[in-house]
Formats: sequence, structure tokens, C-alpha cells
Amino acid sequence: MLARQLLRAGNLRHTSRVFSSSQVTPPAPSQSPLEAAYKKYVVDAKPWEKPVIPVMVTEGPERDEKNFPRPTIKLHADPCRFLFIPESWFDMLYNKLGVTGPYTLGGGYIMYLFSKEIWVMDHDLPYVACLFTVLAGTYYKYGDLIARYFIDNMEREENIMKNWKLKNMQAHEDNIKMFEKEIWRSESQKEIFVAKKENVLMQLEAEYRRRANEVYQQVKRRLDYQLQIQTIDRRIAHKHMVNWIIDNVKKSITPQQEKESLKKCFADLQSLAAKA
Amino acid sequence: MATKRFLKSSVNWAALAERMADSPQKPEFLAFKAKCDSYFQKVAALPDEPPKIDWKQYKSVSPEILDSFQKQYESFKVPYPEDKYSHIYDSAAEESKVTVEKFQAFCRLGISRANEHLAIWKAMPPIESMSLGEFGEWLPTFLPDFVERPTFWPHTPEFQLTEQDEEEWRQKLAGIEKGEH
Repeated sequence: MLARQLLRAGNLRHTSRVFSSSQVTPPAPSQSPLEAAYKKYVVDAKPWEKPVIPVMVTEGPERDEKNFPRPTIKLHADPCRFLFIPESWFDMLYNKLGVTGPYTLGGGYIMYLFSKEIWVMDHDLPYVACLFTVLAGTYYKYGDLIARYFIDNMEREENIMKNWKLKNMQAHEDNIKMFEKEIWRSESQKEIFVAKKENVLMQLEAEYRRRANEVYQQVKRRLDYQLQIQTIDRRIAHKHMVNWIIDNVKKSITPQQEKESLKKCFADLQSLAAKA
Repeated sequence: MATKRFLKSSVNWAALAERMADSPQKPEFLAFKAKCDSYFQKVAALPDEPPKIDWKQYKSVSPEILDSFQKQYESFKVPYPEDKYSHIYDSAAEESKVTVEKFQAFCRLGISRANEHLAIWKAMPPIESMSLGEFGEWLPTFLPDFVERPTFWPHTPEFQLTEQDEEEWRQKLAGIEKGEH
């Protein structure tokens, strides 16, 4: 159909570039981020950049869908006999003339043409036979190829249109999914603010802990200092006392006592030597 | 202690990460999470309360000094830093709630619009069996609009004037008007 011409050659952008009608653009929603996007992509867009906006077309109330349904496009020919005679003709004559009826009718008709010399048997008649031979030869040799070429073209165009429609529908479904995901995602915004508030509280807590630890460390350091002073004091007093006692003892020893102790020592040594 | 102490994070980071998994704002989110983690590590680096001082260990210190130390230490209360900033986030959260509402309304509008269009696409007869007139009725985007937007034959973009061309022509015309040609 002609719509196919619009969507031809697989490049649908070409057709979408052609024109657009200004009367079908739906009104833009006011005061929303959609408005800017709508203005950019729909109102201010070049004709060929405009989005494809379908419009619902409803049939009138008098349309008789039951008796006159929508005609569908016929993509393949009706079955034929002898390559070109429609099967429906044979069906039509079957009731009147039986199985051989159409052949009788056709053969009789040709005999009639020959008999009355409407179709004159002249020198060119053998060419008819030659023509049919060549046609048959072409059919059997290249028939499939030629048919495939046309059927492929037809199917390609059909697929282009079907896929284009599917692509548009898929785009809308993807959009819906994307928007739903964004809504779901935006619900986590309050969590982010809780986290931000917690960051403040965490910093306060860290500061408090640092202060408490500082107080503890300082007090402990001073206590340790006191403890060390006490121990050093005691050690110095101890050492001083020992020194004092030793000095006093040394002073109290007289030379007489020293001599006596020496003598005593010699006597001890001699007695030890005698024993040995 | 004026403010409540921070004890445990109430943010469900796993759920947040799941939501942000394939978001375009993921790098920002990860940076924010790293910052939060660094604050938490600072808190976790020090104990909840400082360890108790073992006063018996310092018996040998003169009891007057020890007593004064103990009394002062135990009576001293470490001041908790004043919370000046968290109220900012309360008001910011309120503000963001409005923004989020707006954004969600926008998304819902998009969904409803997409649903409308999808319904039309579903009701449309197959394009391959349409006539040209029907095609124009269902998809008026492709209808020629000769009045509002005339185009040059053969009405494909390659043959249309671009903005640059139009600018050039405007300048040329201006030049002609001045008599410069």
C-alpha cells in the first residue's frame, strides 16, 4: 500500500523528516521539568527531529464492523492451476460441468476459435508453441529465483514496518520502566539526608572522644610523674643513708683497732697454713 | 549533654547501594559513602569512654595529691561539642522532599503519557495494511504541513536549507538592501 512507500528503504527517519502537523501536538504541561524537554524536543524541533506522536482514531458509530470488516492486505496470490488459471474458476465450474468441465470448456472454446477461423492457423502459429516452451523453460529454470526476489522484498518491507511499530512500543515500555526505577531511586533521598546529619553527629562524637581521651592521657601523665618522683626520692634517700652509715663506720675505726685486726688476720693465715 | 550521642549508624548502606547500582550518579554516591566511612573510622578509632584509671597503682603517691587528683578527675565532665549544624540538614531534607515530590510527579506524568501512547500503538491496525490516509490519521507526525513549515522538493533533509544557509542568505539580503552587492 501507499503507506509502505512512506516507510520504504528501511530508513524511517527519512519519512519522519518530512512534515508534521502543528494541530496534533498535545498541550504542554505547565510548571514542570517536562515543559522544558517538551519545548526542546517537540515544539522547537525540526520537522524531521520531531518525536512520533500517534493519535487515536476511532470509527464512527455507524461503522458496521461485523459485515464489513477491515480489509487485510493480500501478501500472496491465490492458488492457481497451470501457473496462471485461478483455482476458484475450476471450483465455480465444478458444480455445472464436473471434473473435466473447465478443460472441456477451454478446449471447446479453442476448437471453436480454430473452427470459425477467428484464430487463424497461419505461419506464425508455431511461434505460440515456441513462446510457451520458452516461458515454461524460464519458469522451471529461474522461477524460484524470481519469486524469491519479489517475496523477499515484500517480506523485508513488511518486517520494516512491523519492527518499526514494535520499536516504538518498546521505547514506551522502556520509558515506563525507567521512570518507575527513577521513582524508586528517588525514595532513597531521605536516607541520604539522614546520613548527612549523622556525619555531623559523628564528627561531634569524634571530637568528644578525642577530648575525653586527652583528659585521661594528661591526668595519667601527671600521676605517672608523681609516682616517678616518689620512687626517685626514695631511691636517693636510700642511697644517701647507706653512704652516711658507711662513712660513719669508717670514721669510728681507730689506728689501734686497725693494727689489731691486721695482727688477727696474720694469725688466722698462719693457722690456716699450718693446717694445710 | 544537650545533644544525643552518636551510637550506631541507622543508614542502610546496602539498600542505598542497591538503588544506586546502575545510576549515572554512582561516582558521587561512592564519594559520599567514602566520606561517611572516613568519619565513622575517626569515631571508631577511639574508645567509647576513656579507660578507668587504676588508683590503687598510685598508692605510693602522697595521699593528699592522690585525693585531689581523684576528686578533680571524677568531678570533671568532658564538655560535649555543641551541635550547630544538624538543623541545617533537617531543613534541607524538608526542601529536598518538595524537590523529590516534583521529580516523582514528573516521572508519573511521563509514565501516564507513555501509557497513553502505548495504548494508541496497541489499538493501531497493522501499518502494512493501512492506506496512506489512515497512516496520516494515526501518525500525523508524518503529515505534510505546507502552510506552517514549507519544505523544498523532494522534502528530504538533504535538500532543505540549514540554519547556516539561512543565516548566509539573511546576510546577503542585508547586503543587497544596503547596496553592497
